[in-house]
Amino acid sequence: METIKIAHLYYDLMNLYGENGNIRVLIKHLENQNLKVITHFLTIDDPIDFEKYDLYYIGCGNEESFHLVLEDLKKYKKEIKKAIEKNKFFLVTGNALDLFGKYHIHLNNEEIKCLDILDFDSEQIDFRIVGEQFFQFTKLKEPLIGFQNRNYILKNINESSLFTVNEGTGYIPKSNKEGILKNNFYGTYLLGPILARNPHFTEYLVKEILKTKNMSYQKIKDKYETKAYQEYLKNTIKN
Amino acid sequence: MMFQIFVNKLISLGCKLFKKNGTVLPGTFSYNIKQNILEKIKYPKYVIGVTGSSGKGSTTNLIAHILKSNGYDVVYNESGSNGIRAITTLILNNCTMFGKFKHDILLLELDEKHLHLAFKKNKMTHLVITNITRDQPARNGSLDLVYKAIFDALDGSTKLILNADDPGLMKAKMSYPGEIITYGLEKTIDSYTKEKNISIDNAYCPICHKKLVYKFYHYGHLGSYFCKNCNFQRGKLNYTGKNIDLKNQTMKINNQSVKLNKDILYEAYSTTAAYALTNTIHLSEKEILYALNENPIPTKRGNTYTLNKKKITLLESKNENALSYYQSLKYIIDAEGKKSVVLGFDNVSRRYKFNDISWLWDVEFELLNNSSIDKIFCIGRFRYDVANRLIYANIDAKKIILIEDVDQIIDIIQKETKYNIYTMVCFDMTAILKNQILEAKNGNN
Repeated sequence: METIKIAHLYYDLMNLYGENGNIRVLIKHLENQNLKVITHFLTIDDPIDFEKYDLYYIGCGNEESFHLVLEDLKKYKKEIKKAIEKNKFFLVTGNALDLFGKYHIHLNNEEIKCLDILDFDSEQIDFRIVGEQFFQFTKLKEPLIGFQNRNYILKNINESSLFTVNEGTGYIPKSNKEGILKNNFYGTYLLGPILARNPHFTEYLVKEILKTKNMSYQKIKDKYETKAYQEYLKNTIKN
Repeated sequence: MMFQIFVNKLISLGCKLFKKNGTVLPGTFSYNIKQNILEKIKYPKYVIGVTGSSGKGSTTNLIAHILKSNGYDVVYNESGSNGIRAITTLILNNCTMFGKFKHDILLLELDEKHLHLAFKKNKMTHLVITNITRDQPARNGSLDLVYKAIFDALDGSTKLILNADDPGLMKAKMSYPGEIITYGLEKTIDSYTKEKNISIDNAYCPICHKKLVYKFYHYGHLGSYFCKNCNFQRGKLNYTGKNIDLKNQTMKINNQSVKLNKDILYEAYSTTAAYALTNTIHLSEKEILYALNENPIPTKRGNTYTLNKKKITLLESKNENALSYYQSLKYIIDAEGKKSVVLGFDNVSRRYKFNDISWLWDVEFELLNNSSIDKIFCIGRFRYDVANRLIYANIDAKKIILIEDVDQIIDIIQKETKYNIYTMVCFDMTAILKNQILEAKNGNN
């Protein structure tokens, strides 16, 4: 039996919005494909091996957590860069995305040096962007649904975007692009359990993971995920 | 000022005459004339605030009860409306036309985010902070922002009564220039020692940022903790609740036996907080114990119905507040006998239009994976999301029933389960359920 190894990074710091949901959904969907899934929950002071795992996940945290995590991650900068180049999977939601950019600029103009692995900056703003989101992913017909609640924007971006904005907020208000896609690095400001709410995106991700193991995907009908997604679209999208 | 007080009193009178709810409307007008009106009031000797993410309503009621039972002249926001407009209404209505507050004690349940609007110049003599937990993030942001909103409004002149079981609050001990009184609860039969693999807040020392060690947790991040690296700890409490026996509704506070009003843990917190506050403003132990033990608050009725020999209990659960859900879930599984549960909501919030449902994954629905649970009914617009979450809590899919027809909820539940029923739906569904229960009862007669 093939094995997939998942690392949920900083599970006890970057967990503002039910992020554990993403890990639970991934485990279940991968197990449904007859894979053995090993999940490790790692945090500050745990040694993190950026070669060992197939997928790394980081969720959203408050400002203090963000800085603690940034300091801890800096010691792995080279390894993380290499892991992204070698097509390891990274799923990064909420402000965890900012960790990977060049600078994080505070409201008082202080520039915090980030991992400098991806080519963008993030900047704090003096208002919050809060609301439901509908994004388009080029590989999928149906939109992704989700939520944002942030007081930071992305700028000076020289990377590919992950989504286009159907409704909601992109890098900055009025931008129609959102998220960063580089190799198998999927980063978005969508927060919380995006995989639980977007079964089609989960399916896409699982297929991509299977490809790296030379395995083919078997369609398995879920009980409520797809129905929940469809109901939400039906109830929310204005005609 | 006189004009604003006049407007407030006039509109309040109008509300009374036309039988309209006058808790918020008068303040909406009077506050907007000149927003610094509350700074100009001549306040009494005691101005007491109660704030926090949860438990502020029940703590306020208990404090008011203890004070009133002993003949103190107290005014408080009994309705539970705790925003700036409701507070303006209340304060101005209890002032003379010259702005002198007419009673001895002003007691206010205060919204965490409105506190600084009500008391810019630190008129509060005492402030009880019950806890800061995840609650309505679309409005409040993260916990550190709520903490900041509260403490930005304080300058050290207010005496704080803090729940020391919350490390996120206890960090005030290191930075707050004023006096701090602490309270907390000792281990109960429901305390646990292992960190739960669900959402965790304040897991790290707020001083040196090393991971906190817990001797035990009550729920969420509330419990007894210490930092191995520095001196930060829950420490010795000024008011300790212990020997908590929820079944018999008794506990001890500083070694005095006290009756609990409800059989749920948050009541032990509220009672200890109310004890701490009233003792701090020099009520004697005898006075406090008289109010709690010999003259307790009459138990509220109206949330339990009997229908075809089945008991239906309606529990309030706040959406976007995982710990509020936790307490309701815990209450249900601890209740005697087999039972069924109704879950769901049409809208996440009544304050804003956003529907963020990520918090469903912060709620420990795993508790329902319990042999005493017969069926779980999912109702409301987000029933599939709730049901999906239950599946991930490893609950047997056969136990989960989705009700599509909102008009038939009670009928379907009656057909599908023969056990007592607990509902923990949100506000928008409670009214629908109440109506259907009453209709069904009338139909039976």
